[in-house]
Amino acid sequence: MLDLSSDKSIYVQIAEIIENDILLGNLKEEEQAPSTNQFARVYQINPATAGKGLNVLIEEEILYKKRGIGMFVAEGARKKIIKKRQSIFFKEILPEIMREANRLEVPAEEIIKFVEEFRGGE
Amino acid sequence: MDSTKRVLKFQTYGMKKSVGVFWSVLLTINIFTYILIGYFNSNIRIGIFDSRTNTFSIVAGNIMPIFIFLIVYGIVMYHEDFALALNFGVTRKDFYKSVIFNNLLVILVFSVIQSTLQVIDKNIMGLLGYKPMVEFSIFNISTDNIWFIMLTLALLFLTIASITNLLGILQYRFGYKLWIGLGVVFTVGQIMGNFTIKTIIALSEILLWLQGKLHYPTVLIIGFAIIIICYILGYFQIKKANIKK
Amino acid sequence: MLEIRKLNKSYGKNKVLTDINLIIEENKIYGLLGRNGAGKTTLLNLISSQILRNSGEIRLDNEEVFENPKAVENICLVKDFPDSIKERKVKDILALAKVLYKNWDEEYKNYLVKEFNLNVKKKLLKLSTGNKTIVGLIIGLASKSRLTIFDEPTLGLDAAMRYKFYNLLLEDYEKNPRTIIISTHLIDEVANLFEEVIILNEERITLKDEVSTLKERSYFLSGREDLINAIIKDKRIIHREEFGTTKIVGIYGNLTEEEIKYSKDNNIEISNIPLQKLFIYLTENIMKGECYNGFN
Repeated sequence: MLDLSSDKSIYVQIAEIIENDILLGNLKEEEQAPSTNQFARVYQINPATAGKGLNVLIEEEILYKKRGIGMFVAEGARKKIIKKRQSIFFKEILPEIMREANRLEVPAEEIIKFVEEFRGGE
Repeated sequence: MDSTKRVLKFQTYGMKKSVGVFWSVLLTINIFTYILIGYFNSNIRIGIFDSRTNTFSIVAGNIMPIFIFLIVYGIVMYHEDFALALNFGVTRKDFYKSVIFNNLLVILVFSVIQSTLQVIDKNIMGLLGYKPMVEFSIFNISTDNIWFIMLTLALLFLTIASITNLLGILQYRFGYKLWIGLGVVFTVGQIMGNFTIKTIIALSEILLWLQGKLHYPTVLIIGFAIIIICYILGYFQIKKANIKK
Repeated sequence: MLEIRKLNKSYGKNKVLTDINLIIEENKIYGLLGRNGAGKTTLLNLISSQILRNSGEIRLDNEEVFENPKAVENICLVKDFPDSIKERKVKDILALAKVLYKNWDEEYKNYLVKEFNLNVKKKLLKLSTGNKTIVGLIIGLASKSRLTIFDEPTLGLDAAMRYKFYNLLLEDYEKNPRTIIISTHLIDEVANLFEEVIILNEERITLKDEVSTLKERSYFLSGREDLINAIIKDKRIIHREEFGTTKIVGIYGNLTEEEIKYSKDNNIEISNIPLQKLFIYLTENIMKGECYNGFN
């Protein structure tokens, strides 16, 4: 779902929606992604905005364009998305958690212990 | 040109109705008056009665309603149709062209109807035992050609229409201020010693004198002059008109 | 498609628009925002030749618009109907629109009348405010004019009707793209329809940007005053607020990677400014940023 009041731009959210579908397996390689007009209709947004989101994915080679037909999931898209998101995880998400941990004066060993227990439990 | 055609169509849309209603009502009154006088021998003098020559015409009285119709028509044209047309993508120039065309159409219809009525009136009044009025300073029903009468009436109506058209534009642009302005002019004139009446008398005397000298062409020239001046002035005014809320 | 250069308009001594320069591109949906009385309606009236300008050029397809039938017949302005025609029946008004708009789609108009459940046999003045607005919307949509302008298209409409309008607008835009300008107050709702937003403030255009860029270029920074001051020196500040000992600053501009890292390291919170608030700040008199003054 689109969060219109979110910090993230709409076109970024559109790109993420498609990425999530690919990650979860709802959208497989070589399958067709929804068109800009379909996005516009369902989410009530300007088709150009949806197009911007799709273009981001094309630039990252997660989608590719078949002339006159539409946009399709590229080979290896899922792997690319995982790699991208892992990068964000390490560049943004984890550092933020660590900063919060520092603010709350949580010792590093406790964090490591938690990670091991958490992983072990799964 | 395509856009001009569309405006013309726009103009004629409501015209048929208003003209139709007007004449239906007027004709009904005319016929009703004939019946009153002829069948019921009433002494009501609806129409124009000339005591000097003891002549009577019911239908000539239509001139006043026609005059009022043209004034209202001119004002409504700009009050309603102008704003709407400009809102729907018409230029002022195209609109004005369509107004002139529309005016011509209307006065032609009016003059044909009215002149026919005058001729019929002459005959009916005779049948009812009255002396029919036939001499109207600019034409004579007994002696003049029907086409001549129609054209003369058309000229008269067009002159009035050109003036009411200009009034309509001025009314739209300046609103009530126009009428206050005119009122002030006349009041001031009154105060300055019956200026209004004197002017009208002076103008009529000039006209009559000229007419005596040259009869028909004078009226024609003056009529055309007024028509052309009024329509040109109107155009200059409308070019600068803003659409109001 | 539409080019406006050095447009000026005054009502008597009251200056309403100063030096307006604008380029509107073909087949995009634009939002025109501004406070009440900022001059939005005046600008739209000038574009559609309803009123006369003091100076400047307005060109459609590189031809001056004023009194130019070829330009004017491609522009449809939807706004409040003048009082004078309120005695007319809706179907008569629609019939007149059909005569005058050269691209008019009668079938589409019938479809819209059904969609909005409009009784066309009624006189205009007998309709509710919402339905009066709907008549205008129908005319705007069915006109299929290359440049269609909606001035406050949501007056009197409840939420359901508003969303119906947005849907129909996007639906038609998808099939038959045209250039659309919408002037509105309801920013949050309509912002997603726009590709670009134009903000009119104090007689001038103070911003023209893609909606997505707007969001990405506006931030709240909150934290300790002395720490914040270090990074806002060269930024366009649009809002200042104090919250206890915390200072909140709203900026419009880009933050570099270093500035972001600096903020994170110094406990300066960075968050986005909601569009509604952003709009209020950009049109407040207190902080005047630079004016948008040129073609982009």
